[in-house]
Amino acid sequence: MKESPLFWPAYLNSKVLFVLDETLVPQYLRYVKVKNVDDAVKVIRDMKTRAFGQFLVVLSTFLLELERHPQLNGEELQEKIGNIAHALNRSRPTFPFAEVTGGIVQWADQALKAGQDVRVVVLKKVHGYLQGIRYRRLERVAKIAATIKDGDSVLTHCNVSGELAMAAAMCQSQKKDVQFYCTETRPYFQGSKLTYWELRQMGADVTLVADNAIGTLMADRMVNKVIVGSDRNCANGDFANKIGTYQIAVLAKEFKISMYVLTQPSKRIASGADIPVEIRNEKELLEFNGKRFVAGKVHGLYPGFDVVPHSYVKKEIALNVH
Amino acid sequence: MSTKLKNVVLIQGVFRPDVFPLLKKLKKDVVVLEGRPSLQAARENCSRLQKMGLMPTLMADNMAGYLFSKGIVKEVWIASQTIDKEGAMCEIGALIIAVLAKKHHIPVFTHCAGKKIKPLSNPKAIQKFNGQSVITGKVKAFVPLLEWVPAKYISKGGTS
Repeated sequence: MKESPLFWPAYLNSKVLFVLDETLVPQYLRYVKVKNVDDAVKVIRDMKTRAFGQFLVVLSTFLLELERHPQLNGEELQEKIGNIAHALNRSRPTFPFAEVTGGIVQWADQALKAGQDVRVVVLKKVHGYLQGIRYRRLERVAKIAATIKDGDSVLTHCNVSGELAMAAAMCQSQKKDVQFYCTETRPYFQGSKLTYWELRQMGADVTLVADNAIGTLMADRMVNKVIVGSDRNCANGDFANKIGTYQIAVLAKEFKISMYVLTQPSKRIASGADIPVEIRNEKELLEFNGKRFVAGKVHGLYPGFDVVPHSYVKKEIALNVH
Repeated sequence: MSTKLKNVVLIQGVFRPDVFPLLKKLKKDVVVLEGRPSLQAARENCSRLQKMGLMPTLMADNMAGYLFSKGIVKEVWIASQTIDKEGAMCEIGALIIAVLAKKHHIPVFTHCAGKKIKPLSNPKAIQKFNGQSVITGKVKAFVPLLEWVPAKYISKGGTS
């Protein structure tokens, strides 16, 4: 299967983690060099990577730090792993990094208690975990392709890290005639820069729309399905995703359009009310490329995410986490 | 700061100058949606609100839903090009706000700006933001500038 660069946007090579700078795509495919946990936190906080890329960076940072410190003994490694987890967990509040880092801390604790080599155990388990995720994401690509039927017109928002584009390619090989619409996704334009680009790269028929055009698309029946990703999932099916997802969900329900969401099932949070939504710096909204577009005194409000109740979702396209 | 917003009037589209004194009388926080692709709504509305001594809060067009989900929107004002008993022809984005308002039981008022707006823009319009390039090359885009908001989404007596 042809892969989008966004499907696996970070890799480790010679004690350096190379992270695709998604803010430069599609003009450039450049990788930021991450050499330690501080760099990793920065790359996440600065949104150089996002969505799945963030989890990949979080997991790979443990591998990176273990490689950088071959001299540490079991106890020292345990402490180091705890510190790495702590730093990564605080990088962006909406994301459940603790769910991943907590597992790694536990592996280190268990290995130490059992008298095993902490380094060997943690490296093996993290590598295994990453391989498992990769396989399950490829499985989910096939599930997305199965959800899309011949003749469908699919609206998507923001970017789902390669999976929709790869599903589009799969649909083509299955001779399905499918159209895609992607929203530009202010303020970082992930739709314009990433989704439009990667769908085109895969040969899909894709049309770019402004975020405010989704009402017309739905009222005029120009789309018949919505497929979006999710950044955080709750036990009751509620989810958080890129800002703009809630209004897409409400409009889809109003116009009887089915909404599908790619999920990573988790029972750690009961409902959407418990998800903290990150409010980002207003400067990121009020400026573009360092240039302000409204004069005078004005506040900006930039919530990074929407929380969407499960009642808006027709079906979850879930990552098999069992 | 934005988190202090409690009683919000959400305005969408470019309004006539005589609408702003009415907004001031409400003594509520005014949130302006930026109005892609031209950003004219952001610029003109913020400028007029500033002249009235009001501090506007700006949000991107995809962020309105967040305000509704937090229960802080108390009124919605939409600028329309024309209006009749069947509904209103409004600037693109109005239908989203109107549907959100209906779902959250918030009144929607339309104000006829009477301005002529072409129905569609050149696809290149959304390749730029504030005159700067977002994406280059040939892009297939659909850029409606107007949309119809049926009367069922507009509050009774909600026009001027």
